[in-house]
Amino acid sequence: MSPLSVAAGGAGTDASVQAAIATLPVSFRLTTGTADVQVVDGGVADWTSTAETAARCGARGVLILRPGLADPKEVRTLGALTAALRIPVVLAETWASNPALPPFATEQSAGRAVLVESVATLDASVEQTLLAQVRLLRSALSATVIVDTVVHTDSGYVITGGLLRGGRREPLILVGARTDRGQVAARVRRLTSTGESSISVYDGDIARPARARCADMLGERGLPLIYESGFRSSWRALAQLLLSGTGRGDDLSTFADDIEVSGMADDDHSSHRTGIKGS
Amino acid sequence: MKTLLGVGLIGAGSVARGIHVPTLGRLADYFKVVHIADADPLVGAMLAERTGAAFSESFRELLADDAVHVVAVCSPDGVHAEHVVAACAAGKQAVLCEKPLATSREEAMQITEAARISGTHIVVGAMHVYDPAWVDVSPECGSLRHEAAVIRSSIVLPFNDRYEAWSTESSAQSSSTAPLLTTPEQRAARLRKRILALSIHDLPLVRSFSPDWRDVEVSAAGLIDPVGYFVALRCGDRVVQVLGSFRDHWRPHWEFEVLARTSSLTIEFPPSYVHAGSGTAVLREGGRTRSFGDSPRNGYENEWLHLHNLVSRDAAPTTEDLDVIADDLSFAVLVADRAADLVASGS
Repeated sequence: MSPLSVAAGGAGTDASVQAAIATLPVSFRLTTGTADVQVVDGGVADWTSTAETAARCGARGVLILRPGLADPKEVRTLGALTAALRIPVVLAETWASNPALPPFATEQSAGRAVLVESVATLDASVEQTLLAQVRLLRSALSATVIVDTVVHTDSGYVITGGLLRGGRREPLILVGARTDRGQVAARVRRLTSTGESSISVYDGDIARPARARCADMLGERGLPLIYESGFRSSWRALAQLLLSGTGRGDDLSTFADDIEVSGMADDDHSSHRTGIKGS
Repeated sequence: MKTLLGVGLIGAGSVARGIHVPTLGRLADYFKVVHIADADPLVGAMLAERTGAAFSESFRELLADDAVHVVAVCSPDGVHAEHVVAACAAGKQAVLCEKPLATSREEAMQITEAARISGTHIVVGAMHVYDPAWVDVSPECGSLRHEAAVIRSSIVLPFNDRYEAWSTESSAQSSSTAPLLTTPEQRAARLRKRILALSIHDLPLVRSFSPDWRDVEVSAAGLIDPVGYFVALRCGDRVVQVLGSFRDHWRPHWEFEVLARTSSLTIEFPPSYVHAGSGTAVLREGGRTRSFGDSPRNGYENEWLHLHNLVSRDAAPTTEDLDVIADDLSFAVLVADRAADLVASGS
């Protein structure tokens, strides 16, 4: 087969796209002008419109790099359109695309957790950090976040709530902070009464492996290290969807849900003194 | 030449047996246990026999013993203030009081006033304040103190008896079954007690990164299974997570973390009762990362050595010393009270 042509999405995406495509030469090649795959910069405000235009203009697939906050309705509209056109859309997310997350999710014990704790630092606004963290929890634990209380400033937050897994609610505490010069990283720890599992993930652009561990009463086991960046994993997922012709991924639907969960953006946090949102 | 100080222990429970007696054993050039008082003659006399100390059922007999230069208060939390004030009134040179120093700000003020009058030095047995990891990294945190955004105290531990068994030999078990909680008020009281028993280790560290520490607003608090609690709060312009949990698992996590835009601090402490050296601290400032701690000394040894230094300098406690003690306790009580109020209200 010949590689699928890729049109990068502009200055905000070029370096990431080139880095990932360079490691997938059989599947993809960069081109200018009309291409099989359109990359959309998810960091710009109207990324849903750009993606919609790409879908209407004949792209066979769309990859949205670092998708940011958007109107959930527009995200769902995009999902409906691309589903109707049978165009796969893949989100390349900072943490949620890490290839270590699916095997970690399958390792989770069936028992209810006594606590799920997560800490995240990202070089973005606290709202974007929370969205990325909520997305990580969905991928890592196959779960949906429920936010009960938020206390936040422009630089960080503490959130309490729950995690819905298999119809059961587990207690949840999220901590997040904006970092300008620090490490982009997130950790998740799920504690049960007799065991625990944890995973640490890093920037989606680099192939630093996630550290995933599962412990029971007898000891602890590390899951295999996967030296593949989250973004490269997203590209592979897109290639598989295009080659198999199985239609779209369902990223957009859950992404819209998670934007609504991460509703801290609706709160007036212009003053950290008022940055408390209670249930 | 070091001065050998005679130590009197009020209370011969698990903290005395598993923490202070082994620690004082390692500091035999500085201290000698000379007197033990406990209302339970079986427990107290056994420990006294092991250490070669005198035994009394009454703490007042211990305080009347001139061989006792310094007093370790290891009694139940509710009588700490009474015992510390009595030790000051007896003219003892120093008191090491197990955390919490008291259960209210009023009691803390009584203690500092008594210490001011008697010239008795007060050290609170919150071992992480004296852990080499914290002692070494704290002075380096100037810029982080200025810009701290999120402070996180997360303590997830196996039950203490796992460690007690490795820190001493004891036939006496201190574990008890907690009564069932049926009302919000009972849950609030349990939460308050647990914060003042466990998170109080790290709340002085939280306070040190919170210049507006009197401005506390709790947004969420509650109990978690099987034995634990959480609190989310704003402290001035910092947001803070306070978490404590015990469960039947071997893996401990004792983490203190401060996050800011250009720097961060992460400290991992060993569990209580463990005499395995210090915690480790990692301070990240921009692209620079420095590690602190990894010392063979732990916080228990350092708090006793600190006490010895205070006595050896032959000067009365300063107002600043006593204010720090009172303010640390006031902050812990403030957090515990606000969290308990929220739980009691049913929110």
